[in-house]
Amino acid sequence: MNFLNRLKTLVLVAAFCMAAPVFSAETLKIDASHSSIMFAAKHFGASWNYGRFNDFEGTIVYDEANPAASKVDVKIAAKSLDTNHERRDKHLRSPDFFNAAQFPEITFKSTKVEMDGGKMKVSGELSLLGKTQAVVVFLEKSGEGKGMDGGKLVGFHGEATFKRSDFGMNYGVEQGALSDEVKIIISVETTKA
Amino acid sequence: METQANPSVIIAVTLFKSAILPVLTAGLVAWLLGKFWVGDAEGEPKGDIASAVGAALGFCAGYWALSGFNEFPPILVQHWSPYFALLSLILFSAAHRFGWAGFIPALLIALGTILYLNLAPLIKQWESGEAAQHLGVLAIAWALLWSIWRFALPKQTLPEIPLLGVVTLTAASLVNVMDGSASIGQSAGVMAAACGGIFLARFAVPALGVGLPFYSVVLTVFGAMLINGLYYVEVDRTAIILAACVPLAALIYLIPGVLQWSVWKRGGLLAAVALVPLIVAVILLATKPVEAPYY
Repeated sequence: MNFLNRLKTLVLVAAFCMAAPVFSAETLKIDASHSSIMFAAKHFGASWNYGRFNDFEGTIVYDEANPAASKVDVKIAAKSLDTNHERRDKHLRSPDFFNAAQFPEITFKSTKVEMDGGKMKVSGELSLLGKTQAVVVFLEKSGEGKGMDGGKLVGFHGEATFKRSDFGMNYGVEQGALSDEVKIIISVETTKA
Repeated sequence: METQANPSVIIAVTLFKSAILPVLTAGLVAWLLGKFWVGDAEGEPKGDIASAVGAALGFCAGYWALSGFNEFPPILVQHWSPYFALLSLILFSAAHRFGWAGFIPALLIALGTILYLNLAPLIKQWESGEAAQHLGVLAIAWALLWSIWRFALPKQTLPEIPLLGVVTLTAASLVNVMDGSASIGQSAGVMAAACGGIFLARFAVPALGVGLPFYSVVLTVFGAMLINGLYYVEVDRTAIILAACVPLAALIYLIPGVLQWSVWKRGGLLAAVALVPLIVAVILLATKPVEAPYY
């Protein structure tokens, strides 16, 4: 009996140890109605012109105790871009830029998360215009709260930069009309999935 | 710090790539082939093929200068268009000698290949019934246009035919540029310029023909540019239909006795008929509600 009791205790401890990491990582779903994904490019070297995507979804597997175990997965509808100028939006959707009819989805999937100062350095693969390239997003937790239904809300803010020509989006680069460097600004609110 | 080019340099470089380079390439290739391969005899299939080679290579040179020589197979479906021009050149040069018996299989192969490759991403998104509807309408319209040119254009080489190509491709260029995509519009403009090169080369070598191989290359690029405009650039549908009506001006050759008219009178009528739908399309797009410019 003594031996059986010990065995039970061992099994319980082992089960708890194995389950611990699962309990600490939370899968959080992006609430698009309280989130923004923006992009910006410089116009003729002068100012950063901002636009946003209105339709996106995604999840963040967030492990506060062990950030390296965190994961980010985001899917954006290219057609939903919005720069507050209908004709420019149409041009941006065209094959000159996002080619939204041929490539309706832009995706980002993290491959590695490390801590860098107080921020998470999320390395991942960005797929755009049929090409996949490595992109780094610096992400930080912006806050935590409770929603109207009492559910936990977690906010994140992040930024990334990449060269659009790496994805074959070359229109206006050579002439300096629109910068090659594109900024992405992410501010998302998440709820428990 | 990224460099910004001088606006006049931007315009000069774009003009060179989209207009001067294709005119020179098409004209020079056709002239060289005409001089050293075709000879003096007019009405020979070699003369038609020489013009088609010039037009296709002029288009490829301008297109690749503008868009860069991309990977093969192209990731962006729009980059198939130079290959479509080359496919059309090969198919219709081979089919040229066999009359309708050569034309129909060549047309079926060309249309099937071009429509499939150009619309592949959308075919995957469409329901099968929807795909059949889109592909059916496009194939019928395109085949009809091709057949009209084959039926209506006279056998003898008329100097104004390359100019009909210029106006036709200019229509495809303008509707794209005015309603969404500068690069697709410039690509159509490249083919217009290549037709201009053939027009000029014919002054030096009149034996250069403008038969089936030549106009097949022209209609291939024209159709591909309108499809790009309709499905990928979201150009106004009415403007696309009006642009598609421009080549119907070839029907003037069915007017009895028209071939006996002077080239100026015949060319004038052809230009007037071709320009009507183009002007209407331009007015339609130019009078759309104006937002502040964003360039």
